[in-house]
Amino acid sequence: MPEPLTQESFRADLAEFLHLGPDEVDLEESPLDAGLDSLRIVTLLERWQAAGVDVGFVDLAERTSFAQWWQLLEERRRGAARADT
Amino acid sequence: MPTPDRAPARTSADTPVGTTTGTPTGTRHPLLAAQEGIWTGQQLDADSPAYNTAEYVRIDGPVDTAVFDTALHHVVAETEALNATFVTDATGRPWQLDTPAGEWRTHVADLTAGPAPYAVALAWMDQDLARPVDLTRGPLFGHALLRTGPEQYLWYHRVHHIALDGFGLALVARRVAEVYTALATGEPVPDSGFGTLESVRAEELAYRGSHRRAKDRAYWTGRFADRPPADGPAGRSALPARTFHRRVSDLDPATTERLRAVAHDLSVTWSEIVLAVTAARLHRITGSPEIVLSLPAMGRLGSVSLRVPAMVRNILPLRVPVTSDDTLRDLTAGVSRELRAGLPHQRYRYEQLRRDLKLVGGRRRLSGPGVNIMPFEYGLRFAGHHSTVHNVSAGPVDDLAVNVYDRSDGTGLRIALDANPELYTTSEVAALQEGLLDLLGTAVTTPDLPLRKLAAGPAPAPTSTSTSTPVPVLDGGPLPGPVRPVLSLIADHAARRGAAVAVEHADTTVTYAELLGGARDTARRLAAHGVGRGDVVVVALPRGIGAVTAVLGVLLSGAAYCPLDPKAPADRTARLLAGTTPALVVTTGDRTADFPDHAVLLLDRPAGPGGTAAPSTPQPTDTAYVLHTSGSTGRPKGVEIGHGALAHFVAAAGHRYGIRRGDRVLQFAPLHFDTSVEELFLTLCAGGTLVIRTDDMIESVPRFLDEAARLRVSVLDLPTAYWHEVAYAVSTRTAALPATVRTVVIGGEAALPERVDRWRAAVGTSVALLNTYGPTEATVVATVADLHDPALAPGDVPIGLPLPGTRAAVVDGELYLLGDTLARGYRGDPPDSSRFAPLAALPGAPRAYRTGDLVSVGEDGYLRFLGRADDEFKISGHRVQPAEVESALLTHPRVREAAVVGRAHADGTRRLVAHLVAEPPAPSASDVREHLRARLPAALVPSGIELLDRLPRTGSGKIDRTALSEPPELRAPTTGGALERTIAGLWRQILGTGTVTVHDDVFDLGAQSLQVIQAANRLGTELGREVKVAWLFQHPTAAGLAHFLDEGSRLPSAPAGLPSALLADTALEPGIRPGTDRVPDGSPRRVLLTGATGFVGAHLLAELLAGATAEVVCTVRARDRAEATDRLHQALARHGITLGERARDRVTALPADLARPGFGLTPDVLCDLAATCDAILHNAATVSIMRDYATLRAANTGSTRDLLRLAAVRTTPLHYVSTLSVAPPASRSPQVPEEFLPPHEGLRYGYQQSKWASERLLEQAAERGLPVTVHRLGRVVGPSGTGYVNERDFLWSVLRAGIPAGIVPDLFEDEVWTPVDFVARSLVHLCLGAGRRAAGPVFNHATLPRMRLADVYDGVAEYGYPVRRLPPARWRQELPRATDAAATTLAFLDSAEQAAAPDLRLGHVRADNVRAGLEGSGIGSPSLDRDLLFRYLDHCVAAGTLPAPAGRGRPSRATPAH
Repeated sequence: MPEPLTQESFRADLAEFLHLGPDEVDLEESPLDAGLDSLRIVTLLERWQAAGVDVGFVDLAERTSFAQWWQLLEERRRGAARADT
Repeated sequence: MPTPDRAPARTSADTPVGTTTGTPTGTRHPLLAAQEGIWTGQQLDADSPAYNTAEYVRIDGPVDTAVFDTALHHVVAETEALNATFVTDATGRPWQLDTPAGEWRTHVADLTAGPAPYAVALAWMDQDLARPVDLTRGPLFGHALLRTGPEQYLWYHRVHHIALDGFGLALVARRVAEVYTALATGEPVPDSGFGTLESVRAEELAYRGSHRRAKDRAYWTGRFADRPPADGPAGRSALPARTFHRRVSDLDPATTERLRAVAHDLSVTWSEIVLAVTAARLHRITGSPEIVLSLPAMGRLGSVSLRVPAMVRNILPLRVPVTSDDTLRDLTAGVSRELRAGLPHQRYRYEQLRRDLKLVGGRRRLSGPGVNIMPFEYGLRFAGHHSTVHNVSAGPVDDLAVNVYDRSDGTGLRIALDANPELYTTSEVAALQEGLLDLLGTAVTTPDLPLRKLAAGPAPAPTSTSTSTPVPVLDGGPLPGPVRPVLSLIADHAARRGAAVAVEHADTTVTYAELLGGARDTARRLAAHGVGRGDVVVVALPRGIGAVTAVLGVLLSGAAYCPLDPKAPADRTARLLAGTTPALVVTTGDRTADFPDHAVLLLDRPAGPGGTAAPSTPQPTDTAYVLHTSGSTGRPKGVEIGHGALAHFVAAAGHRYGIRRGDRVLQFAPLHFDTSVEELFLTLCAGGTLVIRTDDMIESVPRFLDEAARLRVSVLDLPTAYWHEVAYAVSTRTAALPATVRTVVIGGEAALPERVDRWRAAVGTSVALLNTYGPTEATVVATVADLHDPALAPGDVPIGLPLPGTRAAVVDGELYLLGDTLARGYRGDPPDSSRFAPLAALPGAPRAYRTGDLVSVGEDGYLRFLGRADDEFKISGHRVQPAEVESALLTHPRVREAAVVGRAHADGTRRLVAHLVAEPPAPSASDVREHLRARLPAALVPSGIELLDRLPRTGSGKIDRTALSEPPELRAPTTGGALERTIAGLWRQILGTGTVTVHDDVFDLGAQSLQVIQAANRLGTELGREVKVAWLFQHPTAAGLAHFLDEGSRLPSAPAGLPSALLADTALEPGIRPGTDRVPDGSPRRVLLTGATGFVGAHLLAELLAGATAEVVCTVRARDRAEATDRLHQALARHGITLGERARDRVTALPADLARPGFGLTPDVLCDLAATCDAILHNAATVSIMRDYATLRAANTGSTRDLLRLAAVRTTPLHYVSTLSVAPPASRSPQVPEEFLPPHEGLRYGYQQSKWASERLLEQAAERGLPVTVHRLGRVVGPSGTGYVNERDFLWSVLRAGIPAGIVPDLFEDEVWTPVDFVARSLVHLCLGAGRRAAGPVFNHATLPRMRLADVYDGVAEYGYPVRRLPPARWRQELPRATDAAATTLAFLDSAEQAAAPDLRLGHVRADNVRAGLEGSGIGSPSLDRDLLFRYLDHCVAAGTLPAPAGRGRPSRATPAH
C-alpha cells in the first residue's frame, strides 16, 4: 500500500518532476508555465491514483495552478475516504 | 524538395480565428490554426488519402452490433467536428461549414466464417484508409465493426485530420465506450461533457492578441534564430507521400522496465530517454552535431479544448546537440532542459514560426524527424468487456516519425516507425528501426557510457581496417575462351573478311586487308632499320589511320610501341625519350626537329629500297607497348605491358563489354592514353570498325553526339569527365544520345553519382553504361560495373568486379590487383617499382600491383572507389576526400559542376575551397553551405565557395585542380523571359509589394500558404493550364517556376496541319466506360484477333495457337464463313505457317468488315463476342503509306472505337498493335517515351495519323480504367529462323528495285527492326501470358539494337551485289522504271518528295516496359546480324525476287538458323 497523499508528499512529487527543491515549488504557478507535459501529468496522476485518489487526466490538465490541483486532490481524497468508511 | 508552411505531418492555436461570422447562413466558421495547416497540406495533393487517421479498438467479448451502431450514430451526432465540410470563398480562403453528417452507415461484417479473419480485417482497413476524403462534401469519418472471433470485435474508426487530432480521437473513443455501455446495460446515456468548438475558437482568438503570445514568439524566434539544419537520414526533404512505410516493434517488458527505472533514476520521464536515444541514433547516421526533432504537442493544458473533440495539436521543434562523447545521462539532461524551456510556449503555432523564420517552401525545414509519444492508456471497457487500442495511421509523414505507444495491457512500449516512401525504402526503415531499438536497449543498460562506446547497429565504415581482418579477394570469374595474341586475331579478320572496314577517319576508310597490308609494309621498313623483338619504337603521330597502321606495324616487327603526345612540349618529350631509349622514332617530316638525337622513320616519306630483313614474331613475354604515367614523385614512368597481358585484357574486356563484329567503336582517346589501347585492340580483335573522331568533333556536346549519330557509332568509350558533360546535356535534352549507341564505357576518374542518376533518368537502362576502373599498370581496365543495372540504388556508383580471369584484393582499405594483365613493370627502375610485389597477405603470395586507391566492398560484393590514398588530406583532424564533398555539392539542384581543393595557407592552416559551376540563378554561398551542413560533418563544409563559369580542365579532360587558384569570375544573372515576368507580376499583386524580381524567393518575401494556393489558381487561369500548388512550393522563384513549367511539364498545343476530322475522331464517347462484370485475371479462354491475314497477324495467330489453349476468333473480310476460313488459311500458307489439326479446330474465322460500323456484324453476334471473348488483340489496319487520313479513318480508327465499345461491356482487356511511326521524329523529340503521345507536327501521313488517333482513344479508355495496352512496332521483318521476307514491305521493294540496277537510295540513317516471330511471341507474352502484369499501358517493341541502313547496304555489297549509294532524288532519276517494284517505290518517293522529304528518323526509343515485361520469359533477343540479312537475301534469290549475285559464294553463305 503506497503512502497516503499529503500536502508534503504532493509538494515533493511536484518538486521531483520540476527539478526543484520542495520549498521552491510555487503552488500559484500554472502546470503549463512550469513546463509540465502530458506524460509527466499522467505519471503524477498514476502516483496519486495509487495513493487512493480518484482523479482523471482532464481534471488535472484543465486546472491552471498547482493550488487548484491540491484543492481537487484533497476533495477527492476526502470523498474516497468517506466512501471507504 | 519542398515543405510548405503547414505543420509537418505527425507531430499535435492562433491565426485568423474568430467567432462565427455574421454570414447570411450563419453556419460558416473560420478554421482553427491547426486546421488551416492540415487544409493547406491537403491542397498540395487534393486526392491524397494521407490525412486520414485511423485506429481500431479490439474488444474482447461479445458485442451487440445493433446497439453499437446506435451508439456510434449517437456520438457522431453530438460531435460537432464530425458534422462539418469545408469550402473556399472567392479569395481562396477556407471556411468550415456546419453540415450534418446525414445518412451514413457503419460497415458491419462478420469475418469469422472465412480464413484469417484478423488479417482480412486489417486488409479491409488498409483499403478503407486509401480512400481520399472530399472535404467539400464529407463525411469526414468512417466506422466499421468487424467480427474477427467468436468473442472478438474490431471497431475501426477513421477521421480526416482536419476534424480531430489524436486526443480528439481518444475523446470520441471514450465517449463511444460510455454510450455503448449505457445502451447495452439499459442505463440512461450520460451527458457527453463535450465543450463547443466555438469555445475553442474564442480561446484561440483571445490568445492571438495576448501578451503571452508575444512572449512565446520571442522565445521561439530567439531559440531558432540561427535556423539549424534539420534534414533526417535521407539528407533531403520531400512532400509527404500518399502512403507511408510503417514498421512496428514491441519493446519487451524487461527493456521497458529498465527504461522506466533509468528514467526514474535520472529524474526524467521515459519519453525524454526515447527522445535522447532517437537523437543519438540520428546523429550516428547523419554525423550532424545537432539533431532537431519534431514533437507533436497536445496544446491543451489549461485549455477548454481538453473537453472538445477538435484539431488543435501543435508541433514543437526540439534542438538536441549530440557528440559521440555524450552519455545517455548527458543527453537526457539536455533534452529535459530544452523541453522544459519550450513547453510553456507550446501554444505558439509551428506554421507561424516557420513564417517568422522564413523557413517556408523550397527545401527549408524547421525541424526533422518526429517523435510522437502517446502516454494515454485508454483502458476502455465496452459493457464491461476489456479492449485495447491500436493505431492504424497517424496521418502523413514528412520524413520519419517514431510513434511510441504505451500499451494498455501494461506489458511494454510499442514503437511504430513511419517513413516517407519518397525518402526511404522498406529495408532502410527496418534498419533504422533495428538500430534505434538496439541503441535504446544498450543505452538504458549503460546510461553512463559515452555513445561512441555503445554498439548500435552498423556504425559508419571505419576508414582503415586492422591488418588482422581477413583480406577480401574479388574474383572476376573465368575467361570465356582461350587467350589469343592480338596480331593473330586481327590477321584472321583480314584473311576471312578482308573487305570489311577496319578503320574510318574523316572521309577515308581502310579495310582489314588494307590495314594489315599497310602494317606489314611498316613492319618491313622497321625491320630494314634493324628494329625487332626487344626494341621500343616511339610513335609520335596524330590520331588517324596512319597512326593505327604504324602501331600495328611496330607490333608486327616484334618491337613494342611507345606513343608520345605529338603536341607535348619539347622538354617533356625529351625527358620521356631519355627514359625510354627507343630504337627508332616513327613520325612525320614536320616533327623531325623534335628528335635530334634519335633515329627517325618518316612515314610521310616514300619508303626507300626495301630491305630483305623479315620481321620477327613477338612472343607473349615480349613487351607490346610502353605508356607513360606520372608517378607520385612527379617523374613520368614508362609502364611496360606485355603481349600476354594485352591478349588477356582483350579477351576479358572484349567479352565483358560485348564488343562484336558489327560494332562501330569511336576512337576518342589520344594514343598516349591507355584508353586508346582499349578502343583500338578491342575493336580490331572483334572485327568491328574503329571510327576515329575528328578534332573538331568535341567542340560541343550536341555537336559530338550529332557526329556520333552520323557516324553510326555503337560503342562510345569516353573519359568520365567528358561523359559528365554528355550526361548533363542528355539529361537536360540539349542533346540526344545517338540511337545507334548501345554501349557507353566510361573511365578515368570517379563517376559522379548525380550524373549517373541523371543519365539513368534520361537514357533509362537499355543502353549499357559500363563504369571502368583501372591503372595503366594493369592494362587499361581492371574492374567494371554495370551502371545501367536497374537494381542499383540511386546515388550508388560501384566500380564493380575484376575483369574475367583477374582478381583483386583489399588490404587495409587499399586495392591490390592480381593476374595476367599486370604490367611487366616500369621501364628503367623508378622508385615506385615496389608497387609491384608479392602480396604476402594472400596464400602463395601472388604478384600484385598496389594501386594506391582506397575502396570498399559492399554487401553486394562490388567494389566502390573512395578516393586516392594520397589525395586525402586532413583538416582539423578529419580525413577529407574531395570527391565526397563534391558529391554532396552536386546534390544541390543548382550546382552543375564542382571541384573541391584544399588550399594550404602561409600559416600552415588548410582551407577547403569549393569551386562551382551553377545553374542560374546561382545559389548563394550560405545556401550552398546550409545544403552541405545537412549532409557532411562540419569539417567537410568548405569555408570558401567560389563560382566559376567553367572548371579548368587538363588536356585529357580531367579537372585541373592546380589551376583552381585562379581568381573566380562571378556568373552574370539571367534576364527574365515572358513567363518569368508573368509569375513575378502575379506575386507582386498577391504579396502587395512592387519589388518581386524573377530571382526572389517568394517565401523570403513572406508568402504564406494561402497566398501560394491563390497564386497557383490565378496562374492556372492565366496560362490556361493546370498549375499545382506543390509546384510553387518546389520552385519558389519566378525564374525557377517558369523554367519548370517550360521544361518539366510542357503542355501540348494542337499543332497546325492536322486534319480537323482527326481531332474530332479522337474524342472517346463518355458512355464507353468499364462495365461491372470484370473478367477474372486468368488465362483467356477465347481471344478475338483482328488482322489475322496480315503479316504480323498471321504470326500472332500462330503464336496464340502454339501457346495457350484458348480459342481464337479471327475477323476476316469475306462474304461468308466459308470464304473467311478459306482466306485465313490461304494467308497462313502464304506466310509459311502451317497449323496442326488441333490448332485448326481452335480457330474460328468470322466474316466481318472492320471499316463498317459494328464491323458489319449483327447485334447478336456483337453481344456474343462481348460476352464470350476475354481478351481482344486488335492488330488489323489498312497499311498504306500514300493514302490520306480520310480514307483510312474508318478501318483504322473507327474499328478501335467500336472494339473499345465492345470491350467495355465486360471490361475485357484490349491490346492494340500500333506503330512507332506515331512518334515525333528525333528532330522534334530526342526520345520516344513509352507513354501516350500528344499531337505533334510530325504526324504527316494518313496512316500515322490513323494509328495515333487510335492510341488517343485508348489513352482515354485507360484513364477511365479500361484494361488496355498499346504495342508500338518498328519495321517488322521476316522471322529470324527462316529468313522469310514480307514482300509488301517498303524497304524490300526498294531493294528489289535497286539491286538489279546496282544503285540504292540513302533513305534514312537507321530504324527499329523486329523479326516477326520475336515480336509475336513478345506480344502474346505481354498481352495474355505471364507478362500481362508488366507495367504499361504503352510498350515500345524496340529492345533490339537499331538497324543501320548503311549496314544493310554494306551487307548487300558483301553478299555479292555491287551497289552504289545515292541520295533519294538521284536514285529516283537513275532507277530504270521497267519493273513493278520500281514503279511502287517510285510512286512513294514522288509523294514523299511533295511532302518535302522530312527526316522521319526517331530519337532514342525507350523500351523499358517491354524489357521488364520480357524478363524471365525465356524469350531471347534474336541478333540482327549479317547472317540474318544474308538469309533474307537468300530467300529473295530462292523466291526469284532478286537475281542470284554474280560474285562467288552465293546463295548459301549464311548458315540457316532454326
